[in-house]
Amino acid sequence: MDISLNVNGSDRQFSAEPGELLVERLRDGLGLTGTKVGCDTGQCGTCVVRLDGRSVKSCLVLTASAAGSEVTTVEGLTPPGGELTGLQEALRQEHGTQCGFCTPGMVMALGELVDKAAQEGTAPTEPEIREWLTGNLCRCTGYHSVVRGVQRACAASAAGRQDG
Amino acid sequence: MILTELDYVRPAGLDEALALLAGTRGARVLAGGQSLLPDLRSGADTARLLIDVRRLAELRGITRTGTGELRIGAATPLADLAADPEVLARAPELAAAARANGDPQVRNLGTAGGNLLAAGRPTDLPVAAIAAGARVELAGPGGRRTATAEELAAAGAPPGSILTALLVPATGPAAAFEKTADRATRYPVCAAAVRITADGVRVAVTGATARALRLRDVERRLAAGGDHSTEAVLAAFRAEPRSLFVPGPGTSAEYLGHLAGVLTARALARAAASA
Ligand SMILES: Cc1cc2nc3c(=O)[nH]c(=O)nc-3n(C[C@H](O)[C@H](O)[C@H](O)COP(=O)(O)OP(=O)(O)OC[C@H]3O[C@@H](n4cnc5c(N)ncnc54)[C@H](O)[C@@H]3O)c2cc1C
Ligand code: FES
Ligand code: FES
Repeated sequence: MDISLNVNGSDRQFSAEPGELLVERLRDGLGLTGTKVGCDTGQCGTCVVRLDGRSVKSCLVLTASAAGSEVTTVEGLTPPGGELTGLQEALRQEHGTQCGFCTPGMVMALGELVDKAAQEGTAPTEPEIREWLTGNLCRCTGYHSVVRGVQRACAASAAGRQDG
Repeated sequence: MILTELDYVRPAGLDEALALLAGTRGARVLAGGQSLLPDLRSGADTARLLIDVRRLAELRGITRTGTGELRIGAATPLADLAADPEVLARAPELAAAARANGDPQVRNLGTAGGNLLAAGRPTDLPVAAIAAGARVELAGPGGRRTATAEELAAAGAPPGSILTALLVPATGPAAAFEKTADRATRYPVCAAAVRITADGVRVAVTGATARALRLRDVERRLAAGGDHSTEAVLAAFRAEPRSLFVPGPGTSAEYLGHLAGVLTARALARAAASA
């Protein structure tokens, strides 16, 4: 099938099998290997990307059904060598990443929560952050440092809003 | 990659989707794909043609009908259902059931219709829809018709039909949903939903039972006793035949019957408190 898809701000045209999964297109077709495959069955969250703004598991999306949409992967957050996003920087400072395998998925999933909070001018509570993490498995951090990272990112973004 | 022979179409409207569904062997409706794609990969489903209805405008959105019902388009994402102010205020058991689903990413793609129809495992929305006294709107080769959520849970959607909407009586806040999730999969070990109406309480249970069921005998015992205390609810569940509760991995019928009673008692207490 002929497919067109906007990935990280650029329009991409290609041909794909109807049974192809979005994560396969991103990694194998487009070389965007920041998105990981941990389980392949929707359980682990390492493959999370944003699809028209919403976080989704790219191992549970057909490339064909994403056609016409905007996809953002971890590579699209900041240009190569550019500054980290507020969330990435906060996770770094709180040691919210260790081996790093889960991190791109965490960043893409939690990014939606942080963006929502910024739009609404609120900050998520700790239980809300933990609930939001239900779909992301991490073998290293024990999650506490990830939760602190989100809190730090939301606090920094709220302070930025007040200054601005 | 899904390795079986497969085709994909995105119809422009409901009529085209129905024609494709009627005219193609092995055709299946694809909504969010959060059940269907794993099933296709594991071989549990062998569809040959996927008809993608996720973006059909006719199937999306939440509106209030003239008769005071909430009309929830079948392709409305569970995340939208969980956060909608009207649903939260007038059908809170439904919002809570949508919210209890898996994780935020599954809720972003998974749809109301898909959750009502997903095969193989008990899902969260059917019990809430049954307790709410909801109906579903079905479009098929023979035209449009409605069925109760209870009928849908018993018989599924007729072959060749597309679920277009869920119609929920918007009676108010006296309703609640409670769930004990499997730690690994997040699917319900047991979930219960209740709604308190002028005619009494409606109680529905899933996970513990073979499918999502309204428990009329439990409702009758509760009405007769006029008592919704935890002890009274547990007694009403103990009076059910043991065979109603179907043991699963690591659970016995006795445990599931007790759990269903505990969750129902909690839901009743919360529904009464918010009435
Ligand atoms: C990690 C994970 C965790 C999950 N946890 C839970 C959980 O805790 N609780 C729970 O209830 N579910 C859970 N699910 C399942 C998920 O919520 C459902 O798969 C989802 O709601 C189904 O909706 P869908 O739009 O993705 O349906 P699809 O997967 O697209 O379709 C499911 C079935 O319904 C049919 N169908 C869909 N829409 C229509 C329609 N409009 N008309 C006719 N037929 C239709 C399809 O043909 C298919 O047979 C989980 C899934 C995953 C991957
Ligand atoms: S690879 Fe997609 S959720 Fe694990
Ligand atoms: S940092 Fe290693 S899996 Fe999360």
